[in-house]
Amino acid sequence: MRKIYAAFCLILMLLVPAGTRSQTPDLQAKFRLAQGLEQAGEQERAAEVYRDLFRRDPQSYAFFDGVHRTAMALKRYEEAVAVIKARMQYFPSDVPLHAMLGTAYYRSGDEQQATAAWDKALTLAPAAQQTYRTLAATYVENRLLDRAAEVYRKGRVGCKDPQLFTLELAQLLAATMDYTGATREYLQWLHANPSQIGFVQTRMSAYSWKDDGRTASVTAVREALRNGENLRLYELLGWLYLEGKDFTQAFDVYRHIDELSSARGVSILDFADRVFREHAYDVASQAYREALNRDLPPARLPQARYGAACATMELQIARDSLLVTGTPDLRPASESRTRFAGALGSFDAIVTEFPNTEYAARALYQSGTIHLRQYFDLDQALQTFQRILASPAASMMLRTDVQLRLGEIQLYRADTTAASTAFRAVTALPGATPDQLDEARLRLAGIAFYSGRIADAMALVDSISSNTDHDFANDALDLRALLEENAQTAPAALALFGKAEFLAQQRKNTEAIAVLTDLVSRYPRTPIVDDAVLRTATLSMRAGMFAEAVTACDKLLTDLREQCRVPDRALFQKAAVQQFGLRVREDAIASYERLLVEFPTSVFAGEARKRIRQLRGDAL
Amino acid sequence: MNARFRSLIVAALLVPMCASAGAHAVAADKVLIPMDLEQTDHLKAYGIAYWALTKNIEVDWLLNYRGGSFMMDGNPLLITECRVRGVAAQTIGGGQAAGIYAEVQRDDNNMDVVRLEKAPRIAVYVPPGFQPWDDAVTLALGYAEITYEKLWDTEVLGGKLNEYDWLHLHHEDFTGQYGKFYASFAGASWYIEQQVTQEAEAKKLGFRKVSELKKAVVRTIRDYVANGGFLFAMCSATDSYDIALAAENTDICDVMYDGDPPDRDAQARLDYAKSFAFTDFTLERNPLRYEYSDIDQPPSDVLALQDPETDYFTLFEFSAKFDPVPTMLTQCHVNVLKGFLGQTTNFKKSLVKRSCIILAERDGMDQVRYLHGNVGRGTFTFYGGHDPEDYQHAVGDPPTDLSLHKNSPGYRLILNNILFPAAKKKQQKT
Repeated sequence: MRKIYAAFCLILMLLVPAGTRSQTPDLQAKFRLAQGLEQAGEQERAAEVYRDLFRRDPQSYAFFDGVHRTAMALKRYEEAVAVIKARMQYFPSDVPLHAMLGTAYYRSGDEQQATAAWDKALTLAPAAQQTYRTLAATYVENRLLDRAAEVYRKGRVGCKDPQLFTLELAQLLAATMDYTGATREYLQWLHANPSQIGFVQTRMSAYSWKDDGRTASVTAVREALRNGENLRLYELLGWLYLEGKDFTQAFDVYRHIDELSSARGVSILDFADRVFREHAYDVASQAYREALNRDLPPARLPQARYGAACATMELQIARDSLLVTGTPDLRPASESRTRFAGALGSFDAIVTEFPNTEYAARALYQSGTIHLRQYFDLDQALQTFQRILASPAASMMLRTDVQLRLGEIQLYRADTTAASTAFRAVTALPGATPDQLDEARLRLAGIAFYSGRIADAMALVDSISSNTDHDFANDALDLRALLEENAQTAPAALALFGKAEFLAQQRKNTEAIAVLTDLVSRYPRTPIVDDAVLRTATLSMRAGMFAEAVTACDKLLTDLREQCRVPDRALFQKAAVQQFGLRVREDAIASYERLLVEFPTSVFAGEARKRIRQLRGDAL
Repeated sequence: MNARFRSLIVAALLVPMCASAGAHAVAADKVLIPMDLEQTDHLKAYGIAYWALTKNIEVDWLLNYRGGSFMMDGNPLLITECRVRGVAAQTIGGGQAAGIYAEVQRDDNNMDVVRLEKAPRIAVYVPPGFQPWDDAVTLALGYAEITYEKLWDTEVLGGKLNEYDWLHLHHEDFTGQYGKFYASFAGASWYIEQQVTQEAEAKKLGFRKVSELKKAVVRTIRDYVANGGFLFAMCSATDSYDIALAAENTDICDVMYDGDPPDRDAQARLDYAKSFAFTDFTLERNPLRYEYSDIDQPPSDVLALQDPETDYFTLFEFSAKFDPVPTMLTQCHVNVLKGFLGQTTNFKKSLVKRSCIILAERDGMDQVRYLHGNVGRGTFTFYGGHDPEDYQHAVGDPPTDLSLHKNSPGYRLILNNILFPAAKKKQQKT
């Protein structure tokens, strides 16, 4: 009978829903009322109802929570402490309760009691991870971030697992700007998960973009490396230096990575390619050379040799541009042919040692471009470019570029027919890129202009897409303006100007200047005279004839002053020659100031002001 | 701040220089910097006036004459500097200058002359890690080449404010609620870092909560103004400063801002007598709403109602001879300016204290854009909105390039405030 009764009771307990076992309908209705009041912001009344509910069922968590929550919201910390303590009688070892008690004390301003409650919480289940998570969350809630970090550290000891809470700690330390500490945690994570370097980099990038964050990270990684060589740590260190654009330090690290991983120079080569793309040509050049000295796998040799040659070439170009930074091209026409000898030698060697490869074709192209652009050696350039066309390894894009250079050579040789053929061939190529097409069309427009076919030139210029990222669009607009302005008013003078331009293209500067001088004397009243004199100044500058350039500008500012439409431009150009060519500081300042006085609304005024201040040495 | 100098600069008591006979030696050439539509770079013109003061060249500010022009003794260096900085200036003969002074002095013209004598020492209250483009005032100062120093809580509480004539409040939240960006940016690294930095600063200075630290800062600034300092605030620094003053004896911050709930009766415990400009405002109690109170009009979170095409505000005209201070603050080449939003954009007119002078408002609306008032021996000026040339400047937006806005009327109002403390005290006619 007793067994039947027990079974009946068990069945009854299972059938009755859990909620109603602890709360009668009356309690449930009151509870809903309290919740409604609380949601409506009626904290006082809600608290009253919760208190009543709690009195009637002191073991209900929902009722306890209501009393506690409203007491905290109303800042009745003593009441909160009391209700927590009341519940503690039933659940004396409940960690969250002790954490709550600490919070109530803390918010009431009693830090001592708060600390005691939190410390007690830690002793309740010292081997359970959840204890530490609960306490850490409580500390974070109270903005005690340092204590939260500390409790995680204690958790490692208490749970006897030094790997615990790594990511939590890292995030917490990063938030408190303890970047060294955060990095140490991420390093610990990396140690346990060596394949997750990408993940660690992503997390660290939250602060490695800042100088102080990166410096702290580097310190932490270097500190870790004192405990022993570790490839992943070096990779992380190299990445940090690259993030900070400290390429020299990064190079040291990649050297070490290469040795450590027995990469035979491959790691250094990859590093060299990366810094080349960052335009750090000096470091790239060194890195390519070191990679080559490290017994690279044969398949990577052409890449390294080509990279090294390109870096050498870029370094020379950078050295040239340093002389004339931010200025018009003032280099004399007669350049020493030794400047690019190193790069040329390297490209030639690639062609010889790796024949019929893509790198050989690209080396030939670079070599041809140096002969064409730097030395103006048309024969050598032509010969070099033709070799590329004979190579089966050259890509279609490279071949198209070669066609453009061949057309350019023919133009410089004054063979407009051959040049036109080459440029037209490019326009007919289905695989030509928009930039390649624009260049070909602009060249064809120029040829039409030199030949006096103004309408053709205009049509071609109009066909050039407005790709504002490229110089071709601007050049096309300039040419269009010149043609439009002068085609009707001074066709004969325009034709002479075209002739001079054609000569200038061939670097026959003195002949071009002579034609322009003739133009000015024969058509002194035409609008194109301004362009002719300014072009004379530019060609004189290009030839290093700075005094002649100043004279040309002065002509516009004196003899032709009345009809000149661009005196501000002439004055600006004169000042530029004085600043960068003749290097007469005071004269340059005077000319820029004169521009500001006479042409205060000129488009050159802003730049003139900037240059005066640069010349004065103002801190801008 | 130099107490002697500051005591000279009492708002509304400025010298009408022409009133004193022989005050202007006009026989020699003068340099006139027009500030009307002929000016090529209004903003740098203020920089020239400031530069002149640093070189001990006195500047006459011709209020309401050609947009509030500047006149200085002829000086080749000055002319060169104007040219180099792109500021339109003209050398005029002594006779012509005398004519201008006479015109300005005439009783039937609403004009006057104020002599600027000394370059004010300028401080800007900004947090660590601040970038100049975060703030319109520092952008304007930088562009106009006017030097300033940065202060933060440690310096303010350390008494450093007294070394400066003029203080600008970066768009700080003085209520300790971190701009109320919690709902949108609680997880953003800049927000977390800002909170941690400010909490560390508070602890370092002996405060348990950031809101308590800010209250101390607010009180120190209040004392600085009362002792003769010039305060200029924009955007959220305006209302949040005043709210913090009024809330000195209560906690208005919710748990995510200071770790405990706000006082239930915080609203009732506000003491409006303590605030500078606003009264009877109602706090925004929702901690997730991006708004402090009902001072800001329209509320920041209903931006969809704003239309830059119709958003303009109008400067009031004051009597230059009798109200030189508001006249100085409203010098501009236009009197209707395009609006611009900020965390605090306009101030609800019905909540502005009657003791304040309204300098600009939105026509036909209950919205004040620009106001001024006195506290003790000092003054304060509040200007709503964030960036006069970026209608809706959002967190992370690129900085405004002022070289593209050289004639910005909105930025001119800021720079009027910079020169205002340089004005010489007026002798009382009584």
